[in-house]
Amino acid sequence: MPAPLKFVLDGDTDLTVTRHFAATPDLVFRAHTDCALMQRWMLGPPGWSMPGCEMDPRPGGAYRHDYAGPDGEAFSIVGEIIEIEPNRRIRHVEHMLVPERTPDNNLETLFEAVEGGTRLTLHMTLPDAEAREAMLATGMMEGMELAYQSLDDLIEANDV
Amino acid sequence: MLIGQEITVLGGGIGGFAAAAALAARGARVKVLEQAGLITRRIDGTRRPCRLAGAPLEEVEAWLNGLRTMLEARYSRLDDVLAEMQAEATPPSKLSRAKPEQET
Repeated sequence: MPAPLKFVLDGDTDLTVTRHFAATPDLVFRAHTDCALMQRWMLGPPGWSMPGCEMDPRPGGAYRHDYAGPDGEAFSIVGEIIEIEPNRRIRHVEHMLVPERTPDNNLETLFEAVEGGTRLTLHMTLPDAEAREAMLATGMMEGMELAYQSLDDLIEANDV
Repeated sequence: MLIGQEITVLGGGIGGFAAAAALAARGARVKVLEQAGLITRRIDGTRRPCRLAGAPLEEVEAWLNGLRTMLEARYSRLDDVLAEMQAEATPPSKLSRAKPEQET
């Protein structure tokens, strides 16, 4: 059974995602900064891959993920590392090229040592309507369950 | 008086925040909502009525569900990658006395 994902809206514009991993922060951090590892998990539905990956994990460093879908879909995520503390925190800003550029999205990923492994916390600003549409249009979220469910249910189910 | 009254200001920007600050100074509890496509706005003479947009809110929920499902799938794959990384870092002969490293 995979560990539960906690998914909570902060106010009207931000989202916080929390997840436990049964590995030390240095390993979870490495899986977020080493392209060979990212290319194995930072993907979409079955059939998607990340044929291109560049990552310069230092302040001001650039990164780029080129995605390819099962039916020839392609888009890229391009970003910059703002702050990085090894095994603890990455603050970054990114946008998509679909191929037109979407607005910037600010993200922060925290890695905390906890009993039995690592608590990962992902903070992100909610993309605006244009960026959401662009993300849907990539097909990356296709095949996902887009069931209409109230946010209250969503948050309640994870607030254990 | 406005003391203790709850007032929601729809739309930030200079006007929105100036209004919020003025109302707060008079004792109101003020919340400013903007962004995320959650607000619709129309112009009616000198009035600018706003309301929370029904359909886009559903669209946002559907989108969030999609994002959540994608992250669940990703992190489940990451579990497997981490398990392999740990197996590689720990030769089987040393498994019994290996202690997990702890970050402090």
